[in-house]
Amino acid sequence: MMNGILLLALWLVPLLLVPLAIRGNSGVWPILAALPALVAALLLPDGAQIEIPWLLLGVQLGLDAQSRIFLLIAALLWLVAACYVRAWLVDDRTARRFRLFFLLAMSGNFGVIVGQDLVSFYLGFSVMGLATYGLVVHGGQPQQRWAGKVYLAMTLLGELVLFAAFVLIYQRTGTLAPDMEQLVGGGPWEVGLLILAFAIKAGVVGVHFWLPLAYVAAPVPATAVMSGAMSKTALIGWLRFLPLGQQAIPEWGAGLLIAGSVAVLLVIPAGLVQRDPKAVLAYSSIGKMGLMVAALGLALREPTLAGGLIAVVVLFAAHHSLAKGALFLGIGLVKNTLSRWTLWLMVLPALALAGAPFTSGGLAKAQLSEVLSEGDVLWGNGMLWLLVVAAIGTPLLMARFLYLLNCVPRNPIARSRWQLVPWLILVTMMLLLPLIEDDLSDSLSDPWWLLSALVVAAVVWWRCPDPLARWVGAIPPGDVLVPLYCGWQKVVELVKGRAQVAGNRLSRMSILKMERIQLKGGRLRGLLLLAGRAGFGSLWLGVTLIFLLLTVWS
Amino acid sequence: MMLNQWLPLLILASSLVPGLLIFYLSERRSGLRTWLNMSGAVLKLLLVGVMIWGVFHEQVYESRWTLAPGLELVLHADALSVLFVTLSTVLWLVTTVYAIGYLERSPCRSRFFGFFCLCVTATVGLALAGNLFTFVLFYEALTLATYPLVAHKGTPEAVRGARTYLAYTLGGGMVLLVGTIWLQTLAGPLEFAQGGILESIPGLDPTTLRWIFLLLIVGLGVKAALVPLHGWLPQAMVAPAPVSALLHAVAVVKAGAFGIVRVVYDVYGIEFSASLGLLGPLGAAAALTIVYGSVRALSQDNLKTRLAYSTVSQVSYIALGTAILGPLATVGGLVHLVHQGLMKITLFFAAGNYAETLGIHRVSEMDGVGRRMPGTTLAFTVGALGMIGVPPVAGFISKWFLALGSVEAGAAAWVIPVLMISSLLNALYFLPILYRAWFKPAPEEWPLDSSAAGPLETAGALLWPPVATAVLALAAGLLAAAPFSHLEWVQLIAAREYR
Amino acid sequence: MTSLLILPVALPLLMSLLALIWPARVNQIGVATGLLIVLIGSAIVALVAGNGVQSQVLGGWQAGLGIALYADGLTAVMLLMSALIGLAASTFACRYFAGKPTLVQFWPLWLLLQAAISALLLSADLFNLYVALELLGLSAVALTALGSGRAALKAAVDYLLLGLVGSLVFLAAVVLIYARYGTLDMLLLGAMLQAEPITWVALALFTTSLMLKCALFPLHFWLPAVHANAPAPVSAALSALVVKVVFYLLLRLWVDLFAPVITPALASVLGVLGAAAILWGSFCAIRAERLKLLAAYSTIAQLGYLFLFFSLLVVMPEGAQRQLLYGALLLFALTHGFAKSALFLAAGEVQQRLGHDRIAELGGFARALPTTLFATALAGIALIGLPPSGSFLAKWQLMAQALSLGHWYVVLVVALGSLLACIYLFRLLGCAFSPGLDKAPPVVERRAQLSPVMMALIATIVLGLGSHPLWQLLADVGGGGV
Repeated sequence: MMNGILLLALWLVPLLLVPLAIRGNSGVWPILAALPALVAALLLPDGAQIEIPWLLLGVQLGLDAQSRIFLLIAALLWLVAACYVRAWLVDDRTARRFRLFFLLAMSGNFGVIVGQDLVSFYLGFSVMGLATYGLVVHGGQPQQRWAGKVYLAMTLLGELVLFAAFVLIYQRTGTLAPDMEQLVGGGPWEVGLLILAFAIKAGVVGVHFWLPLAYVAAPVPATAVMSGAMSKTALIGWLRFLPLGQQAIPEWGAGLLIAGSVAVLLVIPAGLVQRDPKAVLAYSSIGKMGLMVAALGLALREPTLAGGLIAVVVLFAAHHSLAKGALFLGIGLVKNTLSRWTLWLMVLPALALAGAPFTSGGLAKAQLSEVLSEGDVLWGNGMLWLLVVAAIGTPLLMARFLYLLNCVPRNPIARSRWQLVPWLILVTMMLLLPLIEDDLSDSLSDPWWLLSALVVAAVVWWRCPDPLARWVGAIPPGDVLVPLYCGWQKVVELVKGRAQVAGNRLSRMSILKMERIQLKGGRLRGLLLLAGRAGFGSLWLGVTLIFLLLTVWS
Repeated sequence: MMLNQWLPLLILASSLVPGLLIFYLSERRSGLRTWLNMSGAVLKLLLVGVMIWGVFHEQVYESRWTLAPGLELVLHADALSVLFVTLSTVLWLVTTVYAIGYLERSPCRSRFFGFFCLCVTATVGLALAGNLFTFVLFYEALTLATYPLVAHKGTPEAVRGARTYLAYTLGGGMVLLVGTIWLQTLAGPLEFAQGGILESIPGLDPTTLRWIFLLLIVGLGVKAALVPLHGWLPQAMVAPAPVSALLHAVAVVKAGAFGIVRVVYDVYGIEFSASLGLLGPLGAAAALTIVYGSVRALSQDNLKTRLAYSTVSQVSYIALGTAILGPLATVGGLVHLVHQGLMKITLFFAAGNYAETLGIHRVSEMDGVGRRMPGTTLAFTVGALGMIGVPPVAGFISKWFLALGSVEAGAAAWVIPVLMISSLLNALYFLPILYRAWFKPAPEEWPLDSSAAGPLETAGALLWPPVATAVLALAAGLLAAAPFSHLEWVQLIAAREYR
Repeated sequence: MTSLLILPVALPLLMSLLALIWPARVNQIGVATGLLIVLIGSAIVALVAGNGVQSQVLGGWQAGLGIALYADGLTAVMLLMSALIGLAASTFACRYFAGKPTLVQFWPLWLLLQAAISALLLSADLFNLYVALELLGLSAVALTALGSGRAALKAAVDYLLLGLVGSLVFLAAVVLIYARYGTLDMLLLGAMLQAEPITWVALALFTTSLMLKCALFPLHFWLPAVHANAPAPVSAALSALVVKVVFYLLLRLWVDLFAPVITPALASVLGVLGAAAILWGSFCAIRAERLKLLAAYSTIAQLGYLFLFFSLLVVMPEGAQRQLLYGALLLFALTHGFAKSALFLAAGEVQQRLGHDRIAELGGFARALPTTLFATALAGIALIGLPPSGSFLAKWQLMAQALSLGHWYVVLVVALGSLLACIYLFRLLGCAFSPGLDKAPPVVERRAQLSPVMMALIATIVLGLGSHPLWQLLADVGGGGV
C-alpha cells in the first residue's frame, strides 16, 4: 500500500504543486516536488507495483532494479536543477511559467520511468516532451523561439511515431504491459518505429539536429535535466520495449550500430569548432549517446551479449547523466560566481567524462571494453576501436569546453550558495559512483589515449595555430538543419505558388455556389408573351389537337 | 409499462415545450426565459438519466405513431442512441448557460432561445429515431431549426452564411430522402437493428444497394462535412458562438456523423457493408477529409474559421472509425463522437469568450491573451491538446482505438499515416495559437475591453461552461477505463454490432 | 340524414341573398355561415366515415333527371377542407375589408363562391357540374375585380374570357356525351362509356377545358395576374380551393368516367406537363419580385405535383399501392390548400401593414410581424415538403411509388422541385431576417390575425402528424372509383 502511494506520489506531487508554484515567488516548490521521487528510489523494494485499472486505459506503475537506477539519477538531477532554479530565476513574469513547465516536465519524466504500461509511459513521455518546449523558449529571443520550434516539431514527430509503434505492440501482444517474452516476434515496422521514436529523443545521428539548438537555447538547469534525465528516457524505452536478449534483430541492430558509430566519429570535429560551451557539451552528448546506442545495437544483433551490454549501458547512462548534468550546471555556476576556483572544479566532471582512471567514466569505459572483448564478435571488435576514438575525442572536446568556459562573461548573483552546494553533491555522487565496483583497478583502462589527447590540447592552446582557428564556427549548432531548412523553404515557396493557383481553380469549381444563382427578381417575360389573344388561341387549339390525336392514336 | 412508451416523448417534450413557450415570451422577461431554459435542460438530463438506467437494465423504451401507411414515427432507445442523447443533453445544458451569458442584452433573445430549444429537440429526436424514416424527419427538422440560429445576427454575412448552409443541407437532405425512399421501396420499413437488416432480406441487388449507399452517404455527408460537401461549415461561422459550439459539437455536424454510423451499422450492417465493398470508399473519403480539413485550417487567420476547418477534419474520424471493419475501430469512431463534442465545444466557447470580452476574432490578435484570460485559455489549451491527441485528454483515447482498429483490420498501412499526418497538422495549427496566447507579450490595448470589474476574467456564465467542458474532456480521457464510463458503453455497443 | 348533403350548397346561397338585403350585418352573416359550413362539413365526414358513400337525388325524380348529389371519402374531406379555409378567409376578410366600400360587394359574391365550390364537389351529374363550374368562374371573376387598381380589373377581364372559353368547351363535351349516351348521371355513365371516337373527343375537350381552368402548364399564364391582384382572402380561396376543385373534377372524370379509355401514354402526357409546371412555376417564383406573385407561381408548381400523382394513379392497378397513392394525393391537395391559403393570407397581412409586398424591401419584417412570419414560415415548410408537414408524407409516397414503378423522372422532378421551392421560400425568409431598411415607419403588431397561423398549423402539424385516419377513411369508404 505504502509502495503504491509512493509510486503515485512521485509523479503526482509535481503536478499537484503546480498551483502553488505558479503563485508568486515560491522557488521552493520545485525542490519539494523532486523529493518523493528520490525517496521512492531509495526506499521502494524491487518489483514494487500498483495497478489502477480505472485510470486511462488501466495504469500500471512499478519499479524494477533497472528503473530504480534511472529514477535515482533523474531525481537527483531534478533536485539539483530545482535548487539551481531557485537561485537563478529572477522573479519576473516569466518565472512562474518556467516553474510550471519545469514541474510538468519533471512529472512526465518520472512518469516515464515508473510507467510500465504503454499508455502511462506514453503519457509521461509526451507530457515531458511538450512541457520541455516551455523550458527551451524561456529566454524568448528569436534564437530560442527557433530552437523551440525545431524541438517541438521533432518531439511531436517522435511522439507520433511512438504512438504508432505502441499501437502495433498492443495489437500484437494484446496487453498494455507486455513482458520480454511477449515482445519477441515484433514485425519490422514495430521495431523500426520504436527505434525511430526514441532515436529522436536520444539524438541519434540523422535526427539529432534539434539537440544542439535546444541545449544551447535552453537555460542551464533545463539543459542539465534534458541531457541528464530526459534523453535517458530513450534508453529506458528501448530497454523496456525491445526484445533485447531474447531475439536477434540483426538489421536494426546494425542500423543502430552504424548510427552510433557515425555519431561518435562526427561529433569530434563538429564539437571542436563550436563557440558556445553549451554547444560543445551538446555535441559531446550526441557522441556519448551514440556510444550507448551502438552498444544497444550490438545487443540487438547479438542476444548472447545483451545481458552484459545492458548492464554496462545502464552504468554508462548513470555516469553520463551525473557528469553531463554537473558540467551543464557548472556553466551557470561559473557564470554566476566571480571567484576562479569554480572553473577548476569543472575539471572534475570533465575528466570523468573523458574517462580518466578512477572516475565513473573510466569505469564505464573499462567495463564496456571488457564485455566487448569477452564477446569477441566482429562488430564488437569494431566497437573497441570506436572506444579508442572516443577516448581521444572526448578529452579534446572537454579541453575545448574548458577553454570556452574560461572566456564566458561573469555575472555574479547573490544566492549562488543554492547553486554551489547541490552541485557539489552531484559531483560527489559522480565521484562515488566507481565505488559500486569492488575492484577499482578496473577503471584503469588505457590512460594513454587520454594523456596524448591532453597533450595535443595543451599544444594547441599554447600555440593557438591560426589555420585551426579559421575553422571555428564553420559548423553552426544544428549542423545539417541549416541546409535542410533552406531547401525546405524553397520547396514550400514553390508549392505555395502552385497551390494558390490550384486552390483558386478549385474554389471556382466548388459545387453549390449558391451565391452565383442570382436571386434578385427580374421582369417576368417568358410565356407571358403568349398571353396575347392570338397566341393564346393557337396554343389552346394546339393542346387540344395534340390531346385528341393522342387519344385516338392510343 | 406506460412510462416506457412515454419516456422518449417526454425527453423530446422537455425541450420542445420550453422552446414553444419561449417564442411567445416578450423580450423583457429574461428571468422567466432563463428559468424555462434551465428547467427544461435539467429536466431533460434527469429523464435521460432514467433512460440510461433503464437501457442498462434492458428496458425497452419505444414510442410509435403511424403517420401514414408504412411510415411510422418510431422513437426507440438503444445503446447507441442513449450515447448520443446523453452527449447532446449534457452539452445542451452547458451551452444554455453559456448562451444566456453570451446573449445578455442582445436583441431577439426569445427567437434565439426558441430555436435553440427546437434545435436540441431535433437532435435528440434524431438520436432516438428508431427507423430511417424518423431519422430523415428529424434530420430535416434540424436543418430548419438551425437556419434561424445561423442567420441570427441578421448582418449580410450572416444571411449569406445561413443561405449557404441551407443550400447545402437541404440539398443533402433531398439526396438522403431519395436514397431512403428507394431503399424503403426495396426493403420495407427500415427499423434500425444491431448488426444491420439488409443482409437478411432476400433478393436485393448489390449494385442497387451500392448506389443507394452512395445517395445516403452523400446526403449525410453534407452535414458531416465530408469533402467536397463541407463548404457550408466555414461559412456558417458567422453564427453567434453558442450556436457554433452547438453546431460543431452536438447538433448538425454530429447528426451527419451519427447518421453515417446508423446507416453503416444498423441498416446495412458493418459486415454486409464490407462484403459489398462499401467501406473502402467511405474510408477514403474520410481520410481525404481529415487531411484536407487540417491543411485548410493551417492558413486561416480567423479563429472560428480555423476551428471550423478543424471540425471538418475531426468529425471524419467518426466516419473513419465506421469505415474500418472491426470492433476496435468502431469503438474509436463512436468514442470520438463524444470526445470531439467535448473538445470542440470547449474551443468554441473559448473563442466566443475572446470575441465577447476582448474583441479578439483573429489568431493574430491573440498575443498574450493567456495572461489576461487564464481560465478561458487554459480550457482552450486542454481542448487543443486533446485535438492533437496528447494524453490524457480524451482525443488520445479516440486515436488509440482508431489506430488499434486499423491494425486489427489490416488497414494500418494507410490509416496510421493518416492519423499521424492529421495529428501533426493539428499541432501545426493549434500550437501557434497556444504559443501566442501563453508566450507572447500582450498588446497595450485590446480591440475591445468589455470585461466588468468583477473578480473573474469575464462573466461567470461565460467562464464556467468552457472550464466545465474542458474538465469533462480531461475526465473522459483519464477515466476512460473506469467502470460505467462512456468507453465501456461504447464497447458494449461495438460488441453487439458484430455478431 | 342524407339531406345533409344539400346544406353546403343551399346554406351559402341563402346567406348570400341575406347578405345582399342586410348589408349592415354582413360580417356576422359571413362568419356565421362559415362556421355552420364547417360544422356541416364535419358532420358529412363523420357520416361518410360511419355509413359509407352517401348519395342523394333532389326533387324526388329518378336518377338521371333530378339533381344528384354524391359524397364519398374524397368528397367529404375536400368539403371539410374548403369549409375550413372558407372560414379562415372569412374571418380574415372581416378585418381586411374593414372600412372599405367593397365590403358590401364582397360578402354576397364570397358566399356564392363557397356555394359553387360545394356544388362542384358534391354534384354527380355532368350538367350540374357545368352549372357549378360557371357559377364558380363568374363569382371568382367578380371577386377578383374587387382588387384595387387597373391591374386587378384587367386580370379579371382576362379571367372572365378564358373562363368562358373553358366553360363553353366543357359544355360542348357534355353535349357530345348526352347525344351519344342519353344520360348525364356520372354513376350511370361510368358503366356505359365505350372506347369510340365520340368518347375520345369528349375526353379531349373535358381535359383541355379543365386544364385551362386549373392552370396546368402551359395553360397557366392567366393565373399569376389573377391570384396576385385579387384581394388577399380571395386569392387564398382561388389558389387553395378554386383550382383544386377543378382538379378534383378532372380526377373524377378520368377515374370514374373515362377509366376504360385512359391509356398510360395519355396519363404520362399529363405527368410530363405536371413536371414542366413544377419546374417552370418554381423558376418563375424564384424570379418573382412580389410576395403574392411568388405565391401565385408557387400554386402553378404545386398543381404540377398533383398532376404527377394523377399520372401515376390512373395507370396503377387496383390494390393497396394505389390506395396508398390515392391517399397521398388527397393529403397533398389538403396540405397545399391549407398552406397556400395561409401564405396568401399572410401576404395580405404584410401588404396591409407595410403598404407593399415587394420581397426585396421586406427586411425587418421578422421583428415587426412575428406572428405573420411564423405563419409564412410554417406555410413555406409545407409548400417545400419538409417534415413535419403533410406534403412531406405525400411526396414520400409519390417518390416511393414512382421508384417502384420505375418512373425515375418523377423522383428527379420532385427532388428538384422541392429544392427550387426551398430557394424561393427561403429567399423570402432570408429577407425577413435581414435588418430593415427603415424607410417605412416602424410597424407594431398589435392584434395579429390568427387565421393564417391556424391554416399553417393545420398544414404542418395536424396533417403532418395526424393524417393516418385519412387513409383509413379512404380504405373504409372507398372513393374515386377505387
